[in-house]
Amino acid sequence: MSSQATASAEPNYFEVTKGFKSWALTLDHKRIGLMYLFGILFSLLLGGAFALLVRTELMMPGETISSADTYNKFFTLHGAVMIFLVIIPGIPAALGNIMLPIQLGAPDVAFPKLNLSSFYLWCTGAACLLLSIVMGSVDTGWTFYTPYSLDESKSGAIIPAVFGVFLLGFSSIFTGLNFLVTVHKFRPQGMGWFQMPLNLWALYATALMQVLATPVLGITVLLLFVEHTLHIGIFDPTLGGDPVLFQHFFWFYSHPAVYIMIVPAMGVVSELMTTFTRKPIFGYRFIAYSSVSLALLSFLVWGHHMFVSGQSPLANMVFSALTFTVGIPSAIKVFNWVGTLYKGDIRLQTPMLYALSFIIMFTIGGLTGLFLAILATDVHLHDTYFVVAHFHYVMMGSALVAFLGALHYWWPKFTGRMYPERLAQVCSIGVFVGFNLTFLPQFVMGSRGMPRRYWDYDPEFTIYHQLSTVGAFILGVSLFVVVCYLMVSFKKGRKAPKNPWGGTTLEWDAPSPPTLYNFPEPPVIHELYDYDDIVEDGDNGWVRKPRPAGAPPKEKH
Amino acid sequence: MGDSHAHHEGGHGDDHGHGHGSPFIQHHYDDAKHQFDSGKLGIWFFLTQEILFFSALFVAYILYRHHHPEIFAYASHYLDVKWGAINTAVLIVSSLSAAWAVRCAQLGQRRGLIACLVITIVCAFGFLGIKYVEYTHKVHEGILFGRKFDPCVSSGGAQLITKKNECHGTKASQCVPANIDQMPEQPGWQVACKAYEVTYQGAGAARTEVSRAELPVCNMVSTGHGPPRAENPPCWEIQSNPNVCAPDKEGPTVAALVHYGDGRVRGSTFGIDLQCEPAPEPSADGDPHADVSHGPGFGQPLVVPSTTPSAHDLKVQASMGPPPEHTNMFFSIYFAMTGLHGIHVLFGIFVFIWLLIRAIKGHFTPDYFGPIDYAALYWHLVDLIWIFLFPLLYLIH
Amino acid sequence: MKNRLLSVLALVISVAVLAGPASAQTPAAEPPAAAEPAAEPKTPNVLWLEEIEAQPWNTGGNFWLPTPAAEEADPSDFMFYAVLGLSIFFFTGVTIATVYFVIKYRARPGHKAQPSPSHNDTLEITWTVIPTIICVFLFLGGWRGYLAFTAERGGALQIDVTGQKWAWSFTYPNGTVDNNLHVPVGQPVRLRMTSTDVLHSFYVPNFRVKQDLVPRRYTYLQFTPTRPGVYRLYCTEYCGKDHSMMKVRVIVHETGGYERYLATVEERSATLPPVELGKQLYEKKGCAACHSIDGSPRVGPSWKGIWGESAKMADGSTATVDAQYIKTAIEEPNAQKRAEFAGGQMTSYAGLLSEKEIAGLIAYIESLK
Repeated sequence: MSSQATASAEPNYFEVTKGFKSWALTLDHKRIGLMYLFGILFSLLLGGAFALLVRTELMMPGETISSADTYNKFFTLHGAVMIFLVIIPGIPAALGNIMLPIQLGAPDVAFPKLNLSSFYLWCTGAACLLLSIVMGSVDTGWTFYTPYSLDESKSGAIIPAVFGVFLLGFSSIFTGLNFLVTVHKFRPQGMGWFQMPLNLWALYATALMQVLATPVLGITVLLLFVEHTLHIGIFDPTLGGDPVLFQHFFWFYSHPAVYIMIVPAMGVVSELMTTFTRKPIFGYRFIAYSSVSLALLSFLVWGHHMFVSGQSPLANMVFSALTFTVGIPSAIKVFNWVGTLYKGDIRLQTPMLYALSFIIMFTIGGLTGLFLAILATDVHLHDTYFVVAHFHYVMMGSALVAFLGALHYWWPKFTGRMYPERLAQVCSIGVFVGFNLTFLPQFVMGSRGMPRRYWDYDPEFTIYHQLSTVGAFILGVSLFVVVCYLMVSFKKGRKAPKNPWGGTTLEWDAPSPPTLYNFPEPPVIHELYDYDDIVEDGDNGWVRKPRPAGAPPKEKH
Repeated sequence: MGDSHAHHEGGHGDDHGHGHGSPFIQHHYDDAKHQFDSGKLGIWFFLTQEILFFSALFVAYILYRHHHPEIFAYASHYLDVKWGAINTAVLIVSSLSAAWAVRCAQLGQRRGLIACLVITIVCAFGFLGIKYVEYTHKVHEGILFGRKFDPCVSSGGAQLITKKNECHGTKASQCVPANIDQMPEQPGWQVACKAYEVTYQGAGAARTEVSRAELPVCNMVSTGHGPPRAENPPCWEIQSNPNVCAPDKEGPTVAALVHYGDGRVRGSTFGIDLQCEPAPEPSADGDPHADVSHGPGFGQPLVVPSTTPSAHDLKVQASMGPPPEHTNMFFSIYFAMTGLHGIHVLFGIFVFIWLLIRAIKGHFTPDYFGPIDYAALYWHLVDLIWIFLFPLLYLIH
Repeated sequence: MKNRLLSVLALVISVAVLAGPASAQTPAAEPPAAAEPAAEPKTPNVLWLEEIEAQPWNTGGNFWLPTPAAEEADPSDFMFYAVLGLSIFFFTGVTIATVYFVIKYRARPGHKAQPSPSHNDTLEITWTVIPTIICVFLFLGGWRGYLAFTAERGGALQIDVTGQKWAWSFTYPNGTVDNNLHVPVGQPVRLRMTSTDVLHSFYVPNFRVKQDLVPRRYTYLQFTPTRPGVYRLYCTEYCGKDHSMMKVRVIVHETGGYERYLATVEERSATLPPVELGKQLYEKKGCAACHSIDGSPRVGPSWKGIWGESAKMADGSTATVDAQYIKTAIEEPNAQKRAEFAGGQMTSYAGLLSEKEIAGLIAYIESLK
């Protein structure tokens, strides 16, 4: 079948109903995902603006544009917005919501009403978080460490902020729950666990972590909430509570949260690597298993955030040892992706450029993690800019870059429009250069002893800070341009073909944009990552070759 | 949760015939079984996250109990085992009726279903009612969490939190700072205080004092049953409690409890002013009992007890002693755990009422009874959590 | 093909093993000289101490790490360079492979994906096992270094450390209290630390040691300084507005210097006029964070012109600012709060200041008319 034939047969999901109400009360996973996406892009610009304010303040030692108090609010808001509103929901809630059912060949997620509720929980949570800016703004750092965050003079801002995080947590839990059931119960006949695209494996592993880790964040911030409203004292040392217990609870969630951010990124990159090298992924099973093992191991390592908190040496030893175990699945994945490049037919379109940036930056992020897993060096590097640089390499250089790659990859599918390719390639290089310029100097400052969350610093660090600030602006401009051209192309872009990249997973058998229930007729399950019978066909993108008569059917049923 | 579920063989167009009886099977499911299985898996994941949601509180419980077993042993006496046990029974009955409701729904017995749901809801309300009685009692006695932990203590600073007792007066807002020594070998505080009853005019910053009158020290008499009572109200007795005021201070603080004997609540224009000074050394020759015969007066050591405790009081005192430092932590955990559990019960009530309405409307059929099944599973979990909470909080010995 | 990849991997490992220790030795071998406090008692004591405290801190070191100045730096730096070598090696490997493959196999007219295996168990197991082995060694190395930090050391000089927003206070065994840390070279030092308000963290980059300070709990930290000089001491656990100002100096004295320091402090406080002592305390004890001396209100009232004022208290009473009032304000700050600053929180300095120092502060406030 050709793409034109299906496109005209049934209205796509934009056309099926119109008007505000049809979006506000929609149960269609694609519309919900799209609304998430716009919320997330807005939050990305907001979080980015705070990042630039932070970097501008650090251009010079002493006061550059803001007082110490204001600076503390900037970095807190930057962290909270980027983590809770952008990266955690970025791939799962927005892109996952849109793509997961389509990649499964399913008409929707298992619980569409729950899906819509998650979205409204997210909106309410985001509104509460932003409300705290008006209420005087939190300055506790995104980690809300007690007892600093128990300061009653700041309750006005902290209460809405922690309540917002609580709601965002439940939004995340319900999304994860929905995905788990969808993957279990909506896989079509012919798609066993090991015929699932790797993106689905990653989303599955992510959903598992969302359901198992986020409740602990929920109860932790709820306790913080009652600390402020009722003075319950569980974390308050003056009432006999234990402030360090808060750190344990917080990191029991927040370490898996790092994997909630990075594992879907790995899934996306696996998809991009195979599509743009036009060959099957190298070591499918190893990648699939490593996603799930990362999900499980991520629950055992939270203590490595607390090596200098006064934890016992025995606990430190155990957590250090366990931390190394998460390095291994990560290393396996990198080797497999590089292995996939071997003897491929590599196309350097924008999503692939992001995927390649991901590999480089994830390697840096992962290797610098080794410094922090080693007890002897972590004691020196803990809470310095080295840590800042490390987690930005993982959470931004990897997770956000993969999000951008995924966004470009699936943009033609769910909007039905192409983005401007050349401009996008330039921006992706801008992101790469800007990012590295921002964060490479921070490794050096960190290992030379520059503590994080400092408003003022010693003159010897000036040069590193200035390089970093320049890099941040290159990065900021690039991201801003990306958001702008995407918005423009959403309305005005060239119409996208059904399969612009030559992907083999099921979403490329659905029309662009898909119909209300994704597939006008049930999709045929082909062998995963089989590029043999997909050929380029000019403006129609890629199409499946008609099978020569008499050839044995390749499809599994 | 095995391998792939066979489904959507047919198309998803408008002609997608459901082929099943209930109108509540949603469009994107293949059939009633597909919907039911998905919902069931969903509720299991939900219950898993519920367990993790509670787990942090259990961890907090374990840690604090491990570090401060004395607090838990002491404070759990202030929970009423009788009410706890009744509540356990109530919840078990409701769990049973919830399970029965599932069976009725499966068999299409609408009457039975409605009856079971009603029993479940009544039990849930019963549970919350009993919880309300327990909470009110604690509110009344000031046995609350964290900073709100402000219980009455028995006469003269013997530091026994009253059990099933009521505060017969108003608490002084004034606290005396830390440099008061407590003599370890005798009850009471080496501090000399005077208490005044003050009336004010206006509020906030504009508040001005209108009058003040010094109050006499209470002469406490034992009533045989219950707490000792003041013979000469209005009068005051000193209270010692590290949690009453200035929680950021190291060391003990004291407050005054004024007895009026009329149980009335005094308004905001009314306050107690307590003025204390560290007392002089008990006596030059070092005999800690040298001043025991004197009543408290300004510049004199406060000496207690001024009443003869009943035999029962003595027995309880001997077994209890003064509350350990940070006894409030037990009640913080108690209220956090039972409070969160109570919120779950409340949520369950809403769910069951919604199900009851649907059952009356006749929505549930042997083809479609998923919501009853899921709610019952949720309810069993709520029940189960209580079954852990009851011994962990009430039955510590 | 498979063999080629395997041999590349073998190369990776062998270079990594060699690169670690090799790079560890070169940069650490020649630390640049830093200013060292003289122990020779030529200058009068008080001046000598002021000179030392005015010295710039050590900013030496190499590109990656600051000058090591304690025994703890050795295992830490060794592991740092070992992992750095390993990281550079793996990073270069991954990057070169990626770039090489991208160039060699990029799509171009006439180019097609060549058949290649979609998995290779031997290879995959190899690149699972090798990182595992490396990780085991890294863990053991880090663990051994850490054990050296935490092992009890005999004959340690115990110093009490109190952190508060936003100042440090160090109490030496003889009762001397200071806001800079003075330690003798070559002697193990054991810090017993706590905080009066929120979390803080004690960090001396040159010593490579760090430990959080937790309110109402003691934490401990040990180190043995090996190199006389002046170093930075940072707070690295975020603690609010002036977190970045909570940095002081660690002065590692040459043999005999530490004793001379203690004697000097006694002498100084004995000879200093009270107003001067008060002024010094104002600057050093963190008073300036909340109280100005120019009349502008900060978190607390300005000290200018405050002496003799009758101020309205939060509880409605009035009080005259006199010696008794100031003493109470220092020792029990929340017992008497001024109405307009009722929301401010000051921590008690009881026990952190001597009677003489309190008298100095009173004299200083009296002088700010």
